[in-house]
Amino acid sequence: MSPLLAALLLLQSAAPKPAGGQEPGFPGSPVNHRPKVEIPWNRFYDVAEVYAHLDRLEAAFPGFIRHEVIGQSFEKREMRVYTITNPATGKDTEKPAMWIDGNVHGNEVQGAEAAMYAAWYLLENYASNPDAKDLLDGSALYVLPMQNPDGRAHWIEDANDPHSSRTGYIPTDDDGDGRLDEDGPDDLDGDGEITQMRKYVPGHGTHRLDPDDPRMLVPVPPNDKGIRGDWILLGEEGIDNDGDGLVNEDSKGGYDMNRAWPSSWEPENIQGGAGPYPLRWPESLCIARFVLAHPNIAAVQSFHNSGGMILRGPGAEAFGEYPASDVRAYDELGRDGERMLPFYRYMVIWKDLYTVFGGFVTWTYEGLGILSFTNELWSGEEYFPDESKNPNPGRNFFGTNSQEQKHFFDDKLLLGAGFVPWHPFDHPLYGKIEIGGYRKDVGRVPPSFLIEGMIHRNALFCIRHAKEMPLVAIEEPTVSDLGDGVRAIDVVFRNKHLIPTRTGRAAQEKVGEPDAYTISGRGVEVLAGGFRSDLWLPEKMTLAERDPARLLREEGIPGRGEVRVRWFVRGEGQEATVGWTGEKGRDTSLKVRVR
Amino acid sequence: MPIALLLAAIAVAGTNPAPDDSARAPLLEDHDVQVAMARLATEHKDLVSVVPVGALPSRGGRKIEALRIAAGAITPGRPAILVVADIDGPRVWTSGLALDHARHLAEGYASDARTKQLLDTTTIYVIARANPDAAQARFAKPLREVEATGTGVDNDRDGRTGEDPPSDVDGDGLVTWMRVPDPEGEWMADPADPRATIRADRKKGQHGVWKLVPEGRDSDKDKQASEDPELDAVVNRNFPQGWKEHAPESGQFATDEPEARDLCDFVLDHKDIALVLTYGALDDFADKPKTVKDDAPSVKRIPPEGMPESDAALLEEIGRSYKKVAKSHAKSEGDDHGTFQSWCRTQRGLWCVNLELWSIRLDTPDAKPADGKAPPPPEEAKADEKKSEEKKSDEKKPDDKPALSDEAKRLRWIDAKSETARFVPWRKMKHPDLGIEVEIGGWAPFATVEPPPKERDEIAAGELEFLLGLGDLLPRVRVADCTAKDLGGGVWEIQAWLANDAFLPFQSVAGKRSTNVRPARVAIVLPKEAHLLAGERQELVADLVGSGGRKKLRWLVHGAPPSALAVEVDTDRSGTAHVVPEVK
Repeated sequence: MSPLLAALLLLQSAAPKPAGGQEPGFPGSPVNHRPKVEIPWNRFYDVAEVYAHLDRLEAAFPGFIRHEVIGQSFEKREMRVYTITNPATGKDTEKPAMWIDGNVHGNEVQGAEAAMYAAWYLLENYASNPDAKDLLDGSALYVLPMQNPDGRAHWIEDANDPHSSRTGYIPTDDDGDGRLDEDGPDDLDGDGEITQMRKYVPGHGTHRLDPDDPRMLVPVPPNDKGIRGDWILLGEEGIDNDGDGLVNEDSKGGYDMNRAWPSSWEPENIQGGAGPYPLRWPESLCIARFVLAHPNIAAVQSFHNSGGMILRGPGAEAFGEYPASDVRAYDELGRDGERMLPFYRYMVIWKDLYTVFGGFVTWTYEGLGILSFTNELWSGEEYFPDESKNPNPGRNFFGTNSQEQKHFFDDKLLLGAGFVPWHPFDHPLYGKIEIGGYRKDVGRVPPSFLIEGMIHRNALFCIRHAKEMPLVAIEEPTVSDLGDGVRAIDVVFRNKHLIPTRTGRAAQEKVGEPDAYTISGRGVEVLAGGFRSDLWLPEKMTLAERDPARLLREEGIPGRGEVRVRWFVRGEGQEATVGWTGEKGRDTSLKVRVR
Repeated sequence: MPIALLLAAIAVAGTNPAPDDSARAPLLEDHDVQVAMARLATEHKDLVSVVPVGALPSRGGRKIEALRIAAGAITPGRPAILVVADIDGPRVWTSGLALDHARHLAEGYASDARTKQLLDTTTIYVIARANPDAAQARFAKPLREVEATGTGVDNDRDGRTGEDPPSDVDGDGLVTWMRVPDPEGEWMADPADPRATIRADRKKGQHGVWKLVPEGRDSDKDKQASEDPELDAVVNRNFPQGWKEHAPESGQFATDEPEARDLCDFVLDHKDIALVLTYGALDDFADKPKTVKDDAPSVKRIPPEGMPESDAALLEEIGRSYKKVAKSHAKSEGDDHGTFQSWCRTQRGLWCVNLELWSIRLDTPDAKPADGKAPPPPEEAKADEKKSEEKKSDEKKPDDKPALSDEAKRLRWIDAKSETARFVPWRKMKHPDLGIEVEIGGWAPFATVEPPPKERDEIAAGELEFLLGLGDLLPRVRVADCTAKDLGGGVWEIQAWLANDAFLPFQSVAGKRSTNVRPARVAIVLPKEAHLLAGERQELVADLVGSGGRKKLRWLVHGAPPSALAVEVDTDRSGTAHVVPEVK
């Protein structure tokens, strides 16, 4: 069924309101709508809760969402991939699929909720919205809410700061002393948070207290005015657990699960966190095996935090640039993304952010030829959307606000809930100090009342991307009589969507299988065939060397482009079936009468 | 028919007496390797044990194991040497050779002083068969030399994977080569010896007439023979250093092949390994390695390829002593991308000696000189000097006599040694699928990688001799001249030297770059009542040269007598020390 026809049918059937004034679906218009599965989108959930919500979706939309356990984390948490598609229109593996994941860094939690939201949104709206229906009928989603469930679990349950628990939890020797994870931060004051340490050292410090707000420290650089600082910052809460004279130098884990994917992988000395070889960790390995086993994956989105970025590769300058045809598709999605996601910028990882060797989306694109984005969810600018009302404008690279702005926001909009006031502590090494600062859920994740907006926009960006996975239609079949019973059959294979059936990268590196253009039919003899390269001169064509009934092509059908095929056949009056088969689009065929 | 049997057949024919197999480096099936290992462990319980290598069986379901050979208690920091044989599958005989090493070590411990010295101070791990699936091809029929054992790809891009593999077309029991006539062919017969197939050189006005392909059918009827083998990934191209993404032999990702992951895990789990000795297709001493300056800068964050000069200089020195004892004259043609060897050396910072133990010599004189006199016997002992002399004389040759291709030189060796079974004469036949006349013949499987039995015995003896001396080269740190000087008032100055008297530095330049060699941890051990007035409670030392290298250590301590103090050093693979200062 063509999408247009499907849309028309759906509009007809969706038109009347059901009883009680309730309209079907939950597209985001808030009146007269209620979702089938209520999930409060204003919290971050622990690992079990994330799976429990998805289990509820499985119960509410049977068949349309199911999960498989693809492996276990180091600490034996389940790695679950959820497959979302309409099973009545074909198996997921026969459809182009989008991979969506989050939370590869344990502390970057909101990706799990964003990935879960994308699944929920499509399921809720399948019955009422033609776009949602088209997507789940014609394609599939693979959603892995957490690449690093151990990191998430510890970040949520243990004392942490916004940046800690990024790693997996295999004990690792960070400081080269032969001992593992022996000196991490300590929750010295027992308040369940890892905050900061500062010490009053009159005349010998690097900072002074802000006269307007003594919660804030102002740097005092060396100067010729005789002004000296009275305070020093001593880093995260902690002591020298192993007695080596260093504080907090070997915390839990100590590697980066987004630096150990196979493409452009480099060892530790070039890329910190890479580990001794790619896919060393059980979480990464089972994900890679799943992705490799699903060549129908035609789009990838990975969710991180923070800074407001829509990132694509290359991750390293040494790679060079991606083929222009792929960059065009990236650019169109990236620019739409910038409009759908205020305060997000569309960027190239190495050029606009920093160098990343062995990143996930660089593997899925460079290694597997799949258009892939990483979004960095949440930007500090979102605290203060209106710059004109901002007394202290300007942003740094990650969109982080000034201390004053953060305090204003925390004081006025969270009644100070995000900040642990400085309080005295007697430290075994530093003596009398103060402990205090922002809690872990301030800075890199939004406050609860802004979560839903963030994940809705990002999930809809995924859907925007998913809608561009290849869709091939066979058009304009024409049969010309060349005399002596020989006929030419001309067919246009059109890709209606933005993403090529095979990306430029896939074609360049011969990734996966080539697309096949086929013709068959009882009594139809195929004499020759090939790809036409000129609209007006039909003889300009790449003639098949072998098997003209099954033409293979390394280059895909370009985004919103076409491939023209001409076959020479005999078989007066017979019916021929022409077809297209590819890894990243649904197979399609058309019957043509030879006459 | 395996070569050994072919050779036996020749012996029966009376051309050359040849034993059935080498006594010291026999061809062992995987089962034989397992049995030999188990037997050694049983017979020498106090010295030898079998330890697993990684957790994964090969794709063919074979497990990889190592022998651990060591005398006495295995104390922390005691260094180990890892011997890896048959890392490149076809060199099956090197497994037998490695097991011969193991047997000699175990049996020699009681009677031979050098063996005792080695095993008392150093642990030896022997992975005799690192690539068991590829090795098993040596015993299959028909005989086919196989390197690839892993993930197959669609080589000919026809949408099918592995549908047109090499096979024995002429039914002689061997999968050899085919010269397939082709207008676009790049190969031709060497004018100097038409048995040799060479690439046509257009600069010399030559043009090719054949495609040279492995012997095989055209199973997929695409008019190309044996162009899509079942398997493509090669274990020793599946390691992360210099891994070539998307090349068929590389595998889906580095360490995807179970053997590669197992070997990596074995190295990572055995931090006592200081030196890796491999018997494979790479040879450190055949040609000078490509070097870079020790401090060569990275370009776009990628370090330049090549061995740091200081490491190369040390290796060259080891090579000199190697050449004194070893009988190997290999001419390595390997490049090291994606290999175990390059991963160990570059990324793990291990000392490595990589040896290709045999290849066919290229310096055999012509068996049928123009004057009709009998050829002089090849002077194998002087090979190195000889090679350079030959090169010179080659240059002086008049132009009318074409220079011999390497293929033709190898054939000379075959002729001189009557090793004729190694090369199957080209025979014309109509190809059953292609329908045209092709020639089938050329190098027999394993003919270019497997020395005759007698040579294998000599090589085994020389390599063992080399191994026996390797333990002495390994860096071992100790605390020298640890003294306490009374400064008065209960204040003591403790001074000591961290020393390494062995040939090799504490770590290579490559090791230091890799950041993967754990530095020596030097600590002063103080009783509770003592105060450290000056000095580092703990210091990590990454730099310590060899051949008597020294680093000075100093502390000021108050509140405890020197007899209550100690200087302590621990390392992963260069020993440990615990020394109480002597009052000066």
